[in-house]
Amino acid sequence: MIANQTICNDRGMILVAKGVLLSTSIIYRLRKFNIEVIEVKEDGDEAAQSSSTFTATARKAISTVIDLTDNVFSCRGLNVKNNISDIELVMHSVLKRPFIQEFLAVCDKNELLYKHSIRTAILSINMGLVQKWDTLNLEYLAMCAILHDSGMGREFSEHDTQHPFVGFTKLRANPDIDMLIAVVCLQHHEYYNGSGFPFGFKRTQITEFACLLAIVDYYDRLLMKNSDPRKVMFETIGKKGILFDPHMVDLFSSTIDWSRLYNIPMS
Amino acid sequence: MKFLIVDDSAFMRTQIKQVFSELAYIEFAEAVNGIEALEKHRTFNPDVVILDYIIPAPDGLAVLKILAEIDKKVKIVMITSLGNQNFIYKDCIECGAFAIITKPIARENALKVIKSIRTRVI
Amino acid sequence: MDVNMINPILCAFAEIIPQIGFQTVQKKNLSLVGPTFTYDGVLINLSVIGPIKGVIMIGMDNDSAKRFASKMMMGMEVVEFDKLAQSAVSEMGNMVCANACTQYSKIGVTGLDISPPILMIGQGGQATLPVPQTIVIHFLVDDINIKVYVGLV
Repeated sequence: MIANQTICNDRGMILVAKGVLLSTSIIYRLRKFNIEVIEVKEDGDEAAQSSSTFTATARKAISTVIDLTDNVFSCRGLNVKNNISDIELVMHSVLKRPFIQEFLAVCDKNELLYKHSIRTAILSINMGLVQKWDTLNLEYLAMCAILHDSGMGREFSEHDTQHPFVGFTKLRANPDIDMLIAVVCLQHHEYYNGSGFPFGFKRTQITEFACLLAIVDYYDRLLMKNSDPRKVMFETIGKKGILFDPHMVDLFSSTIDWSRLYNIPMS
Repeated sequence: MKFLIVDDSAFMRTQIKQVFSELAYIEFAEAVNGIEALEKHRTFNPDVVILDYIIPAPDGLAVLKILAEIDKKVKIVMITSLGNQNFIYKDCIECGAFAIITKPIARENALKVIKSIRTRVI
Repeated sequence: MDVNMINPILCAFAEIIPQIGFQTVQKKNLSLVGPTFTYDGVLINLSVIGPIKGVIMIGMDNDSAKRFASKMMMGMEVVEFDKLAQSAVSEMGNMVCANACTQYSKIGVTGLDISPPILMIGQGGQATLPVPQTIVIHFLVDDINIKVYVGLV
């Protein structure tokens, strides 16, 4: 039997994803979290779903992942070195999904958006690995990160306050995309103190993945405008408890290689 | 009518179904948190959402705001234990709730909700 | 804490319990104990924040909990204190405490809020409240013994 719905726990973390074969261990895990009922479908030809092809778009994206991961380590002082192979493994898996490839094929024309989406995914997965999240959650986190700006128009503008809702509507309209991904897209500019947009949600109203992505997105956008990674780092961390969940800021701080950060030559 | 019940308490979901099914023929779907509520709304397309104020993230108020924005037709009935607190009424009505019912759900209140929904639908 | 300040909790119990399937609610007695007490069975833990802070706990033994859940579910047989029965009893705690907040607002104590209920199940457990003394109210609800422990400041 195959799960026909994605189930999240109280924090918005994935317990089981739609399309996954329900093994004994997965059923046991669900029972542990008091999930007594789940929609299923018969095995049938859905097994073919798992053999998605690796297109030219995906191959280009993987190559970009490798370049950007190296850049993040050497030019930004973020400690990704130990996690490079895990990051690439997660991205490899995620890039097989047709809707991810479709998005990347479209935003390929906008280099800023393309690189920002992939870099956000790299940084998010890195934080997820530090948190020891399982592969399923890392993959979903990566998908949320890649698609978080899918509501952006041609102009990659920070003044576009409608793009989270536009993205949410687009993603929601695709039945192959889990609602968690659409909700994270909607909430990635919502801030801890309620000063975000489009709804002004705060604290417990914002899902875990969206809290994480908010910091990563903010940090990467800032660095796209300002070439000094040290200033950007302090500005991001300085928003702890104001824009960002304190726990997530601590997690982000733990991924910084401070000695490397201070040895980066100014451009 | 199609009702989506969103409450993290299994008991409350059972009680709500019991109370409302005595009053009208209703098809039910259930959700235990905000993400599942939005997913079920997408697939089940309910006429009415019975939404608990306190549910796991995103919470009831967040789900109310989102649903009110994406679906102008759906009637959202908030349920809460803190029913007589003014700030709850104010928050929910301002964000687009159709009605607010206090727990435990009395038959008369459920009946009033059904009547109001039917009146608005016609 | 002033003993009179527990009146809102007494009112809440008297108001909510009949609405969820019970006929009689009797207050058997009221006592004062230290901050620590032992319990066997089920203990529902609710935190209160606002102008008054602390904890309200509702306790009963396992058999009482099963009978209570059964009555809440219109007489459905409860052989084991399973997830549905636990959910029913937790919800009772939630409704009683939320109504207590409303009753407090009627006597001028506004802005109280409660946490979602935590259900503790076990034998020989010990709970310590953040107060020097705990007020214990012993109720008899349709022949089911229930104790409400109030630790508010």
